[in-house]
Amino acid sequence: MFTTSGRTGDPDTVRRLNAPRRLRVETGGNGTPRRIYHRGRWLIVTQERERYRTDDRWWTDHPVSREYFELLLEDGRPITVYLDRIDGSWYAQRYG
Amino acid sequence: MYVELHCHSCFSFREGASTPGELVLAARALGYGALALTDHDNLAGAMEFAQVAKEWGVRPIIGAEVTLSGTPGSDGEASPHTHLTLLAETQRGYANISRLISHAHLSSPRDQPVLDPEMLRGCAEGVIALSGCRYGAIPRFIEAGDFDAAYETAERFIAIFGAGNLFIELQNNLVHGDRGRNRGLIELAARFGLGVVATNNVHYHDRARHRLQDVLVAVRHRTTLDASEHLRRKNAECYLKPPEEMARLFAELPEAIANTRAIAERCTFDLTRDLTYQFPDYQAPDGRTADAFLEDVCFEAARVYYGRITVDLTTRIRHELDLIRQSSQAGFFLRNWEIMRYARTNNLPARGRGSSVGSLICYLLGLSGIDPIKYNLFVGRFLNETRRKEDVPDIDIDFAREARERMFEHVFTTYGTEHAALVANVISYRYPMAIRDVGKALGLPEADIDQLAKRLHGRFARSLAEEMRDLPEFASRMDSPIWREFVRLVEELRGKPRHLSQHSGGIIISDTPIVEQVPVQPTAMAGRYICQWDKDSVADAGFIKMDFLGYPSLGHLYRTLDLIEEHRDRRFDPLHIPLDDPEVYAMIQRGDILGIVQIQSRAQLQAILRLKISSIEDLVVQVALIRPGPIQGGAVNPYIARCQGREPVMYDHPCLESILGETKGVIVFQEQVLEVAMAISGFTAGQAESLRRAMSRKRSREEMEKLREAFMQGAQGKGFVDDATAAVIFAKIVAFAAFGFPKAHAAAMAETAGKLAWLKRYYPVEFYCAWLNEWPFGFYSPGVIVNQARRNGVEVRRADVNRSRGECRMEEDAIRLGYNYVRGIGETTRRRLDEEAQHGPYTSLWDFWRRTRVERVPIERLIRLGAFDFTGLHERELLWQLGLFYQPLGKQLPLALPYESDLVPLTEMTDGERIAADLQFTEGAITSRGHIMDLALGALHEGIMPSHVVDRMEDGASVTVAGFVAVRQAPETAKGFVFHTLEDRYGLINVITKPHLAATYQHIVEHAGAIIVHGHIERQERVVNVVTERMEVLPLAGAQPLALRHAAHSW
Repeated sequence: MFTTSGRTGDPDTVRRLNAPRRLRVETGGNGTPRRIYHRGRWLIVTQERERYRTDDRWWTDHPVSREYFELLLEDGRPITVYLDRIDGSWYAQRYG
Repeated sequence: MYVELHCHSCFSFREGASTPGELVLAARALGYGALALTDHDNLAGAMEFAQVAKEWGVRPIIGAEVTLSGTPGSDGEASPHTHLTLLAETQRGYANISRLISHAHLSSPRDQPVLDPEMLRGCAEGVIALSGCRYGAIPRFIEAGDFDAAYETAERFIAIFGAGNLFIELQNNLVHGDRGRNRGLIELAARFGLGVVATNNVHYHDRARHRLQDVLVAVRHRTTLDASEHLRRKNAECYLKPPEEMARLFAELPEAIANTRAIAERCTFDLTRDLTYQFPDYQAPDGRTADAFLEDVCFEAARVYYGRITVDLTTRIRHELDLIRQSSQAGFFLRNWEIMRYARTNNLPARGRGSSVGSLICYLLGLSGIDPIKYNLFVGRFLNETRRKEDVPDIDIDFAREARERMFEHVFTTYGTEHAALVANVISYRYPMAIRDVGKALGLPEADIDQLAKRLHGRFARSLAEEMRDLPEFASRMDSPIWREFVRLVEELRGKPRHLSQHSGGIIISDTPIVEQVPVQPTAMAGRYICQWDKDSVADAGFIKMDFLGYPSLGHLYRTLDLIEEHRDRRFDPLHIPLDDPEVYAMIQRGDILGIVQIQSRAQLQAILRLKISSIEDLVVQVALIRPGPIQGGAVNPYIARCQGREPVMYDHPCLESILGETKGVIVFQEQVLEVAMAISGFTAGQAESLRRAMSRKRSREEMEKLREAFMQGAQGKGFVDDATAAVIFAKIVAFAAFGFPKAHAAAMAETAGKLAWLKRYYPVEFYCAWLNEWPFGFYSPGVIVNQARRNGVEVRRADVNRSRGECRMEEDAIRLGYNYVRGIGETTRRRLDEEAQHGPYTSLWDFWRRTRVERVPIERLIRLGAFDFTGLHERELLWQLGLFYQPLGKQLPLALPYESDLVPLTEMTDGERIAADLQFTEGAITSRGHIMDLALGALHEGIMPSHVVDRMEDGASVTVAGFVAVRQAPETAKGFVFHTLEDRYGLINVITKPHLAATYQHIVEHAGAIIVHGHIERQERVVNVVTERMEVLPLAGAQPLALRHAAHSW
């Protein structure tokens, strides 16, 4: 059984969960990430597991055009990053 | 070098977003040597693709992506429908693909073709199969991790196609999951020793076109872009990519790229060359050859038609027979003769049309019904020495409406669906549908989209952007991204094919199975099948098309003859109705031409009043003159001025005198286009005919420029005329070529017109009665026809249940309206009423109700139309009485009591109410108890001129006229001008509205049933037009707003 606090959400305090985080990426000749700047240091990409693109919402004020990379970094950490093909910046896609 | 082997055009309806031409040009620009077309479950765009590709130096490979019914997985559950890509390696392979697609269509619900994979077994020879996109059976199982099922499916396909003819298709569209699936597919290929091949599942030629593709997917699923995320492609990668980019995508697997080329090289089938179509041969009796038998038939007919066979006649017959023999086409002519014998022996009204009418052989075989000797018709456009066996001329035949249906039945019964099919018509997106579909996909407000779609429906609408800028509520939105996108997408979608329909009358028959030449699919009408090609593709394929066209005027003519026989006991032979009667031409010269096919339009009338038509030869020119070709070619006014002697006859070059002398120096007939091209550019007859054919199709600017260059080079080579003159002549040919009549066709039309004119002059009652029964066709609504009949002294009586029958019929020298003009009485009810009428007259409303059991609404309408006036009761009394027959359920059944005792005093309807009822309840707004304009009496103020006064007014005089709209037209050739024909109590008035005023008064112009026009007279000899300065709606008291819609012929 649930109880509620009785409070309604305040729009000023609402924030997106898992919003993509901008990050610095160094790419190779074919546009694939080679190194990623993470928590104050550059980490080498050891494996590109998946690469895919998304083009959507082009009829809205917020079109989406992204190139995603699922990568494995030298410290064994998997990471998903994408290049926003509209603003030209790199972002880390966070899950959960 | 990469070759794209999986490519959809817009013939993958509501899926592919580029035309075959766009794909070919993009392929050429990217350096592709070959390209495959693999539309979903059809080959509708294949011929167009093959032709354009060859023209631009890209080798076309023909294939299709077929939909297979589900394959069971390891768990025994059938997967959803799957895809498989098939390519035609050889002619046999093409035939098999065509047969498979036909089978899918013929064995599935309409427009949902699905093929049983078992069918592949017998149809794999010559086919190369690729395992398909991610919706292929093998890729689906791999993606689902069901490797056993994937391997079993691969084994089954190997057993069907052979390991050397099955390739595992790898697609890397940069979609999540592509890599994993491809890894599984590569493993599978290695296990079975199969080749792998890269494809890009192309759906558009250019990346930017992905937006239209997204829209089409939303349209197909009847939803919006917002709601279709799961249905649309994830990105914009399904475009025709540069070969280098494809090589980069498959850099780790170069053999997948190399195999595209290897497969392309194996596919040697050439659709433009290798079809095995054959028209059914004719087995002549007594061991005679088809040529010998044809000769016998022709000479025997010549003796019947001409009595004596002169040397000239023999020469002409032999000349045509020689041309037929040279091209081995005797069998074709005899087959046509056989088909038309069915029409003759079953009394089905028919007559030839088009260039075949120029052939004496066609006349003798009963294929044309027009004597080419009499009209001095040229056979060269139909038969000439350059015709090869595979280049068979069209034989087009007009039939009365019902006759045409019987002919289709006859051909399908005789040849069966394996060997006969109707030609398709590709229905393309026009503005209204494009606006609705794109608007809905973008989620734009329905009311806005509806408003725009209706506005762009008008015949004189300009481009969408221009129309929107003119509308204050839309002008401001033009800068917003979504509306800009909307305009762009609508323009992209406009002209793209939407679906296949049935051509107006084309039918093909084939000795070899038609389903192996082109896929066949059912139409909406049971028992009818169309092939997947339109008339242009059918012509490119070299198929012999016979056109059985519906021509209601033939029905009009034959019905008139039947009525004359029935009522006057005289039977006229339709072939021998006089065409030289001065009384008939006097009637035409007076402008009394309503109902005479081909010369009854407003434009024809205006020309006729300025010319003095006095022979059938004049009529032949007249029929051809008022056509878009001569109008756009600037021929009409010079022709009239030259006939009147107001302008000298001139030629662009003296060498044209012998060609254009008959038509006063202007091009009127198609044959003249050929002859002018031959004289100026030195073309042969065959080249000139190719030029004419090429120009009569929709061509791009580049293609048109190619033709122009050929003509100009020819002219330079011949050195007859300078470049400037050659350019002027070419421009006239181009302006004419699209919509002109051959003289032979004009002669056929003129002869029917002449015969109808004779019948109108001497048997007007039968003429009008037959016209009403054959309607709908032509320019005028039944209301206008009836009013015109009355002005011609023919009485038309209202419906009466004791006198009317299913159709209009003659009563002495009057016409009695039939039940076919009572709205809401269908064919079944009409038949029942006709049967019951044989049991004697009705004595009362009760008697009618009891005997016929017709439903309440039609009886109410009959009452309102005065069909029970014989009872002596007026409409309100009868309606009251009728109401008493209908007791609530469960009550005691009514008894046949004298209902008069139940009557209450009710007021009689006014004249206005009766006219309004006529308008509302008769088909086509026939008024039997007054004139529509009687409803406007309150609004008709002093100063409104009646039509008979307008006819006598001086040029430039100010005038106000009023009438209901009989015809409204805005032909494309008129560049935005709108023409109204108004009718008042006394006759017709022609009104011309200039484009800017048509836009100002658009709503009135398009929708008003009756109007008042303030303007001035424009008089040219006997032709009088009212030129609009101001316009207003003429209110009609008591008339239902929609009732008048049926009174006008629009556009």
